[in-house]
Amino acid sequence: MVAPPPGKSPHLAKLEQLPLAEVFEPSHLELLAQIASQEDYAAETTLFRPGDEAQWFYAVVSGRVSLTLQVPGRAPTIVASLSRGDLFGWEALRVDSRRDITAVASKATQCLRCSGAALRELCELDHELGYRVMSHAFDRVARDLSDCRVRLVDMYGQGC
Amino acid sequence: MSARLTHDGFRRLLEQVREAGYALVGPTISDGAIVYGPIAGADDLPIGWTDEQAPGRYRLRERGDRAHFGYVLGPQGPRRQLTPPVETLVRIRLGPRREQGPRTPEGVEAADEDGEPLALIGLRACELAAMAVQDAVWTGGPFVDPRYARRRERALIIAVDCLEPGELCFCVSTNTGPGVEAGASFDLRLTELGEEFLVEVGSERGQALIDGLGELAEPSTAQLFAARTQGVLAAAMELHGRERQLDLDGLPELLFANLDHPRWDELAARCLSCGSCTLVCPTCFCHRVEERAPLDAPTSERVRHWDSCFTDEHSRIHGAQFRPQIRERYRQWMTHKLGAWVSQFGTSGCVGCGRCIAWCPVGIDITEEVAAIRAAPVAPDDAEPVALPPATTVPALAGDPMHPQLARVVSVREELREVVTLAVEPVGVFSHAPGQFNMLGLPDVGEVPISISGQAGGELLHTIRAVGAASRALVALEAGDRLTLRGPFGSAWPLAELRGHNVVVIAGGLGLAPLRGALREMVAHPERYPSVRLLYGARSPEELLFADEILSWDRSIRFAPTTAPAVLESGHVKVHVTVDGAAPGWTGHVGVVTKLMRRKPLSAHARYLVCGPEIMIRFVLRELETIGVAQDQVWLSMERNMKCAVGMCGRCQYGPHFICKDGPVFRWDAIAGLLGREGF
Ligand SMILES: Cc1cc2nc3c(=O)[nH]c(=O)nc-3n(C[C@H](O)[C@H](O)[C@H](O)COP(=O)(O)OP(=O)(O)OC[C@H]3O[C@@H](n4cnc5c(N)ncnc54)[C@H](O)[C@@H]3O)c2cc1C
Ligand code: SF4
Ligand code: SF4
Ligand code: FES
Repeated sequence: MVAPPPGKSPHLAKLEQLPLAEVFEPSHLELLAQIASQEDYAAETTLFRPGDEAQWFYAVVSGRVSLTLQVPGRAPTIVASLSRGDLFGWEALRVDSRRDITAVASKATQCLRCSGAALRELCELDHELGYRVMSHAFDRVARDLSDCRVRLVDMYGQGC
Repeated sequence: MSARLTHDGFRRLLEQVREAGYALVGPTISDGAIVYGPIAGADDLPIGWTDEQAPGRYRLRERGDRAHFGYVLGPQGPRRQLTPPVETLVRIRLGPRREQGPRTPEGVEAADEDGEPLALIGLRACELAAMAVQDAVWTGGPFVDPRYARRRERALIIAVDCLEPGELCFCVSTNTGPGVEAGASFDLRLTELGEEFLVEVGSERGQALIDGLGELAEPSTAQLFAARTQGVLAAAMELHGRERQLDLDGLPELLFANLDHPRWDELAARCLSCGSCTLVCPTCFCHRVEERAPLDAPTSERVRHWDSCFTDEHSRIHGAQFRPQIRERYRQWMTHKLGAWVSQFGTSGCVGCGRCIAWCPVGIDITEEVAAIRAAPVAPDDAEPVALPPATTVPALAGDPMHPQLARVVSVREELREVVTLAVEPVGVFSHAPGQFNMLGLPDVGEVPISISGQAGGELLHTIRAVGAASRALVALEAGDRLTLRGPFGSAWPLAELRGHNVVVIAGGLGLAPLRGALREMVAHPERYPSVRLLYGARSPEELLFADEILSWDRSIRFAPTTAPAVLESGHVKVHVTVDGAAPGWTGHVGVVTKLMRRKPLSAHARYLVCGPEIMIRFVLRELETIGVAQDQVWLSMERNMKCAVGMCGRCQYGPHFICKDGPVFRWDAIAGLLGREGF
């Protein structure tokens, strides 16, 4: 178990207000806040592109981020939008991974972000924290996956 | 009153019936079977013949006597006469052919074919029971089919007791025979005793006929009565002692609790899905409605045809087939006949005649199938009973529910690609409740159910997507054109019940159309509906229906596409929209509607209205379940193939419910057991 460092991070208050705060102990939140930074993006700022090194892991505080797929020969399509409380940039949790999608702030947006390497290190050092990060991440990814499956059936396509 | 008739007396009786203006219908030999059809008199009866029946087998044999009713049952009873296999409902006068667009109607006429009244000769106890079941279907309300009602009312019935039940009969276990009960619906009841008949009078009409026979009608004797009693009792005892029985006790519950029984698979391996059982069964009533529109004729006809739940079209809607497998079709037939029938019509749909056993080419025996499930049920003993359909709250239309009116298209508004809203002006006062639907039709393509998506003054709005023949033709109509309209039908959104509650409306795609009327009402009345939230999902921003209007309801909305002024803004309405995918520039939500539900904290205490494709409804309900919303707080609208909209064609059945009259709007708990279950 890693002891929270003395002095509170200025991002703690923001982190505490996000839904993810419910799954962490206060001491864990303090640790996470220590490695987080706050970023403000003007509308239409690109956060990352396919091929970029997956460095950061994000939580949306306000605004909206759209994830866009670009397939050569086809018009780009927004396939997901993320707003307050949503986490994105999962790739950063894996070592040496790259982005495969474009993330753009579709309006003025504030995020908390932390480096994937720092987060992985923290998880390594404190397995309890690591377990919670991973199980929370799993919960979100599983839901996303289930939503994707639902979309495969084109749910508004048929009938009335 | 009673009498005794000899063969001569009986012959004279039929002559008299004929002279009284009735068309005689009775058993006669044709094509190697006893067929129920037109006869000229007593000589046409199968005198001296009987029929031997076994599973998958039927054949005639000479008896060696002069018995007039010495056979059991032909493949069909009077169903063919009371609900003809092909029947014209209305004739539609056609407007002139146009260069473009569908042919439109100019007038609608009833197809009154009031022929001679029928005299139905030789009906067995089980056939009277079957007729009582058909009475419930066609005249039991809330709608009444005037054609059936009139034929039935005018028909003279001469019933006959069964003293020699057939091999496949099991009427004792369904309590529908073998004797014709004194209270049954007959004018005369015959008991054939050797060379004589004992006649019991059941009506004034019957009495008049007996009186008319004069001396040919002799007084009945105590011996004849005793012989009848003994004969019927002996027949009943014999039936009682047989192995073939149908135990009706708790049967609906048993069947609906065993929808996944392995027996259905075994059955499916044998059943050919030929539909013979449904054609010979005297209580089956499913039909389809078609347009008979000769290319150059000045009129077209809307025609009803017998149909079977074993056909593909029966359970198909555009883009979906609800019973693709034989297993599901047979299960539908049997769970309907022996299960759902009880809650729909207050009686089992089986009268124990055994026809479906004799005429099944592979000899499937309904009693055996039930016995097999009963012997080894897979469901626990305390299985949920079948939900009874809610009482239909909508008042029935007076007159012929199949007779449409001619409505005029006032305007056509293009909503989306291939989706238009037709504003139509019906004739006379038309009142409906949001959630109800109309049957809209055109001569060449027939009628389809379309929800009423709003009412503006005297105009009814219908928002239609062009998917197949009928919807395409409707979408191609222009202002000034006419179309046929029947309605309103079905249940409505429970607006009164929602008063004072927070309401969340969840819609997908065109599913917003049936909800718009209810939303407009709630938007206009903040004092009744303190908080209304609409969560709406569509494929793409271009496919958002009524975008301008719904966005105008929520004054906090800033993003496009808003062009209309916020006319109804009131602050109590919140609108959240999501799409499956969008081009860059869209700043709204992207993701399925269930994701949107997770994003907007929803209350476990709110009331929920849900409409959209069934797959969406199912995912939405799953999400509501996780939030802890109780089933009695949620209403949803269902869709199945529809032809009549009044509970008579059998197509829209959903377990014990008719979606056309018990729905389309159901409270979740009424259909929770069936939702998402394959084959319904
Ligand atoms: C209660 C109810 C309300 C509806 N409201 C609307 C609405 O507001 N707007 C709209 O665009 N559509 C609505 N539909 C669906 C609409 O009825 C079908 O799209 C239409 O019947 C398709 O007929 P078609 O001839 O164009 O297609 P085809 O695929 O050629 O259909 C052939 C036949 O199958 C039956 N059928 C096919 N699809 C359906 C279906 N979905 N429901 C019932 N019967 C069907 C009809 O008898 C039709 O004549 C509603 C359906 C129901 C049951
Ligand atoms: S189900 Fe079979 S036995 Fe029962 S009434 Fe119909 S045809 Fe007769
Ligand atoms: S049960 Fe027999 S009669 Fe009925 S559809 Fe199957 S094969 Fe045909
Ligand atoms: S029974 Fe005919 S549409 Fe419902």
